[in-house]
Amino acid sequence: MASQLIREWVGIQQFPAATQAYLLDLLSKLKQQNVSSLTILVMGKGGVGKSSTVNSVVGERVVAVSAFQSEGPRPIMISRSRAGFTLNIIDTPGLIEGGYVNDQTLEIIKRFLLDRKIDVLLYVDRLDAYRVDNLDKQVIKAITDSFGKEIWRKALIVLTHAQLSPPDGLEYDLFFSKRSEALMKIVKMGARIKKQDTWGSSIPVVLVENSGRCNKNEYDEKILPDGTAWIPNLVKMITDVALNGSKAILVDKKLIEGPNPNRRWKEFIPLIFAFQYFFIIKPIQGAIKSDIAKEARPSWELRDGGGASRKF
Amino acid sequence: MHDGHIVSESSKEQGSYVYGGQNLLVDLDILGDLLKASSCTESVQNLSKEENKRLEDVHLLKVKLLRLVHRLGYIPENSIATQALYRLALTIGNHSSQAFCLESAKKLATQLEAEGGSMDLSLNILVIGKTGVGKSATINSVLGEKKTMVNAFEPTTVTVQEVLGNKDGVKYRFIDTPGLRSSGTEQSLNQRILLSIKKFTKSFPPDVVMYVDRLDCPTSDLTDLPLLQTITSLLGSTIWHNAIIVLTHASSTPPDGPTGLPFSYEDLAAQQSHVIRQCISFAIGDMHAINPSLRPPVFLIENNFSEKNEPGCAVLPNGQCWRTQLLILCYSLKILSDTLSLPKPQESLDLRKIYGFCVQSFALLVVFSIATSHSPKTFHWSGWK
Repeated sequence: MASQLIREWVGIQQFPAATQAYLLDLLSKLKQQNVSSLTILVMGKGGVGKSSTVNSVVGERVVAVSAFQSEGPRPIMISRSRAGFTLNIIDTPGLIEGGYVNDQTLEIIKRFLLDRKIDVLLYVDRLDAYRVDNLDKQVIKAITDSFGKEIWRKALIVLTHAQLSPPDGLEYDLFFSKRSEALMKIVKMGARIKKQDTWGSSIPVVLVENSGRCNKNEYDEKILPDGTAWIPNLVKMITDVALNGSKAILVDKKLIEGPNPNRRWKEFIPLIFAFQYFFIIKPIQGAIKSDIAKEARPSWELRDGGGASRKF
Repeated sequence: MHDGHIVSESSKEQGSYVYGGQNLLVDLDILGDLLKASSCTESVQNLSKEENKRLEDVHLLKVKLLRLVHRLGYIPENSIATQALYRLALTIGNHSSQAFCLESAKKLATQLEAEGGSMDLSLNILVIGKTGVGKSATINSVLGEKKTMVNAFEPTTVTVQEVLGNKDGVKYRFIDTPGLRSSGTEQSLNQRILLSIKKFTKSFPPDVVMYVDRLDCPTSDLTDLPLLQTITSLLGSTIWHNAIIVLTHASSTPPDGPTGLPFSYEDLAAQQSHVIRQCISFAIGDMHAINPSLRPPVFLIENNFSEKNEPGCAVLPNGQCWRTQLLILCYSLKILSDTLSLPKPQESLDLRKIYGFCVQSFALLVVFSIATSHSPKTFHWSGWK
């Protein structure tokens, strides 16, 4: 876990003026709430656009994007600071390899995050994937098992490739809502979020378009098909989630290594012992004693004890 | 290596997918040699009756292909058809007499077309692939109407079903299958699907197998290997002999490469087909670089059409209509596999071969006699150590 050099966030100057102003405004709002740093964890399957999203938010090409080669095996943390505020983004390799969740990658990610606090989780997937299947469920389950169910209180679902023309003549908004519905369902299934957890239905879904051919508005900001500038929108949603009142996830040794099986339910031992004594041993002893008392005395005992009629 | 993001083999693969008019099932220089070889030679040979029959059958198949090409409005020099004719010529070898050469086939074809006789062409096509890639949509596009249900959010094809249709004078019989899963833990579901496919294809053996995947979802190396291994083990590796790799969403804009500039269209197609072919060759068990004789052609299509274009003629970057090209490709594959199933002629007893056989058997006799003349104890078979 190398300590990253915290650089000045020069990438923010790449953005058009309107975006810059908005972002600096958001950062000052965070400072007002006494939040001077934010740690964002980006996870998802391979090939969905995690590294591209990180590059877009930071404003410079900090992470290598690989369309065909498998991603680097290690997570990378990018730290940038501006006006006293530090932004840490952690880009991770895709969790699926060869049809299964790669446990080794998961271990590496967990060790990388030791003793860090995760303020926001970005779960990334593609808008133009038409199926939600078991692989997604396994990825979500792996994230939940590693960091606990509470991480989904601080999570955002990010859908990349937002600039698409929907198939079969569907309307864009309809397509987007159905796709996010399908994804939310699988997140709730994989993370085992019950109906009582009302926060489960309010995980925000954000659209993102990382390609260089993204449409731009008159201020030269990259926009989605409905006209919103997506970089300010994404950072705003991140800020909202960071300030939503739930605790940030501290990745400590206990979380990584999981509960110690030897210590599990140790408190119950005297209770079970007492239960066994009072409810099992004692009744059996009592039953045996009463059996002995009720039993007719055998003739040899009566004979020896003088109870039987002796006929000599 | 181009920009470090394409494996070195892709430069060989650059042209090896069917995309508009430029395709190469084989390299151009071999094609040249071949076309020279298939030109009419005046060789005088005493061909046996079976050989003659065989040549005639192959000739008729050539005529059929040429008629189809003509009917669809292409010139006979269409590259796919040329490739197929080339392969046909290969199978009959060098003894092509005047009666059976390409020119006479062309003449016969134009004559039959002029007469206006009908050609009964039928194609059995099996369509397999992952879920959500566009199998049912492809079938709808080829047939020109919505024959099967498609859904952008849930798998709709849940049983193996037959889709019949007539288009361009060809009777299509598509076998639409449920989507396969790429997760390693769901391979048992895949096995059930593939077993039902196998039962279905016993009654309708497919002429062409289309393996469908998306062009715009770049997969890294071996993601789909469990899936392809399951397919190969259950349906047999022979299905890849008459397979086409169909890549859908071909009109989507390519993603950005590592340099920040987008991939070029050709590079993207080449890379994606390379990955799929590599998985196929691993699944078959061919651990060398992709076996050149077993390289399924790759075809790019687009199913998402706007109302302006006729379905099946959606806009590809080269602007061509892919449906008829696909038909020619399928029919060529069918003809080639028909040729392979024709009864092979008795090998003419070459004097040289007889001589070679005699020498071999003599050598064997010598070895055996030496072996038996010694007692077993004193004779060491070094081969058994």
